[in-house]
Amino acid sequence: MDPTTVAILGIVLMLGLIALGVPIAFSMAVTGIAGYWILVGWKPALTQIYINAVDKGSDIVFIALPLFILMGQLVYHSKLAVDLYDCVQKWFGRMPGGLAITSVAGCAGFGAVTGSSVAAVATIAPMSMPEMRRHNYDMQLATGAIASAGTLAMLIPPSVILVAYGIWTETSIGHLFIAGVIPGLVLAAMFGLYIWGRCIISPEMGPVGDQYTWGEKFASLIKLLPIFTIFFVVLGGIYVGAFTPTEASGIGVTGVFVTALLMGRFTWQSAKQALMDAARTSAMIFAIIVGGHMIGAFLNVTGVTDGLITWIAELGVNRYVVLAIFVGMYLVLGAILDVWAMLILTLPFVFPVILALGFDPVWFGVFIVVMVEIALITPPIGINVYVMHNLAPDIPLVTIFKGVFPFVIVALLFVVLLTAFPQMALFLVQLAFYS
Amino acid sequence: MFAFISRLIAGIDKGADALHWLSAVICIPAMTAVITVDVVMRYIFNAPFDWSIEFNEAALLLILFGSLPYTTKVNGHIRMELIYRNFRGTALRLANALWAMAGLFFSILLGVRTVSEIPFLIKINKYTEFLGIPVWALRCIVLVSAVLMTVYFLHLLFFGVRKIEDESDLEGHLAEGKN
Repeated sequence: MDPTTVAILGIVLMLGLIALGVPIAFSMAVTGIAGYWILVGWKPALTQIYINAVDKGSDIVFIALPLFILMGQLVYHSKLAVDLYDCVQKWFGRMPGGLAITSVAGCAGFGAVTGSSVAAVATIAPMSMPEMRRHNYDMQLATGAIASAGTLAMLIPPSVILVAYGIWTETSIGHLFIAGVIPGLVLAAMFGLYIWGRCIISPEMGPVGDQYTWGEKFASLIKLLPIFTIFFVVLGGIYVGAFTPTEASGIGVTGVFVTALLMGRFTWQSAKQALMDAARTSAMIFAIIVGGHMIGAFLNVTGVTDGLITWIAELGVNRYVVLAIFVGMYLVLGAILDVWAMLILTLPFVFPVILALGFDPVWFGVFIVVMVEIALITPPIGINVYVMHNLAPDIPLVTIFKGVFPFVIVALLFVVLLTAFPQMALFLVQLAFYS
Repeated sequence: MFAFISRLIAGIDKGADALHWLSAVICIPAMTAVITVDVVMRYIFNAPFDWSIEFNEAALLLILFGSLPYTTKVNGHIRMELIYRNFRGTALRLANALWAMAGLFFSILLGVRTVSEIPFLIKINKYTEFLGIPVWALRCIVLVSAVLMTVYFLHLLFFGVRKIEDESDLEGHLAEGKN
């Protein structure tokens, strides 16, 4: 059979399996194995499974994944972010919409030591919602701000999604982490600016919070020390080349563990739960990555990816038009797929095209994480919205989805800025690794 | 017959849980400790461990393949549920059978290939460079994982989905408002 026909049938089969509820990892793996079997033969197909599973399963780069997941879990269970929120509230609380801005800054700070957006929402919401209710905040703005800001944890390093992207595309995870810093801060600032502007126009939406003395404000900064020390050691170590992202993940976990232990915020039960979840989540991501590699190997053999690149080149369309099509595709996929599925399922098709169009793989890593962030808050899946709803059950889901809508627009505006100014992501990378 | 299968699955569950516990509670902390001490040794004593990469690679293999059967047991693999959650009766059974067959296809082939590799590795007497771990022993972890997953998928094929609470699933619990 013609390889292109096999490729098309394979893609249809894979999409069919996914639609019928077969786990995405197995849908991709089965299609990849079957296609490889048909085109290359039974023995090479078996070897592909073995090589992909065993090589990826003992790839030193992969170590960063369970350890950064664990780091996030430990931060969540040890409640280190309570101090962070307290400090940010004292500094930003008096601004128009200050408590919502505090939530954004709190999530950004939380993101600096974890990569889990769900944990960010679950940590910040119980602290910020009572405060915002006490000050009669508009609940659409309040819940929308928290659910949206939670996604910043995905972009601000250490980011688990960036680790997976780096593993799959063989892009330097250190470069990706450094590239995520400025975009993460800019997006947080844009969220904050939107809230501030909205509350300037309609002050009743976000009344100002409590007043604190300068003494109280500066005293609260001390509480930030543990979180910021861990962040600067992990990221600073990568930035100056003191250690690799894999080593940084180990140092980060040790740092959080020791800090939480010294502050008396640890129980054996919470540590065990964090470890078990880190192992289970890593296995789940590992299965998807192996599946992604299988489908990637199959598509390579068919030559369909090269054909796609040639076809796009022959169309003669501007590369930004292709990028805009990808944005549309990710918005649709984000509405129906989990973020991991969305990432790994599309990379075998999208990544070679992106490279052929001359986009930087590090820049694209940041770009795709922003698209994943948007998927986390768009209906019908939008897991952050569901977590927010469960933490504030009296606020209807529709209200929260309406609340996140302006933030989706802000994030899309950010995608335009990131595309227009790729240096936003690449400047620090060039400064750190190429200067 | 049914009692035998129940006992078999209970035994398999114990194996999968123990493997998951070993990978999570022993291997992850050990890996973290080795990485941290290695960095400290490198910068303070200029004497990093030669064997740290080898150790971490082996630990990672154990973590990932050790947790795969547990992830399969608790239905922890992500999927698109938009259509699946509306299936009832025969449609649901067919969808589950498809899921089981896809899983079986993968786990059996992985197991078969690993089985064919292990005698070869024993024959050539291959050990890791610094720690001297027999490579076939590491591949046995892959085989055990493939066998356990195969049993779970066979059970899924013939007896349908089991509802098992995964206590460690933080994100799932948060999304369902349980934590």
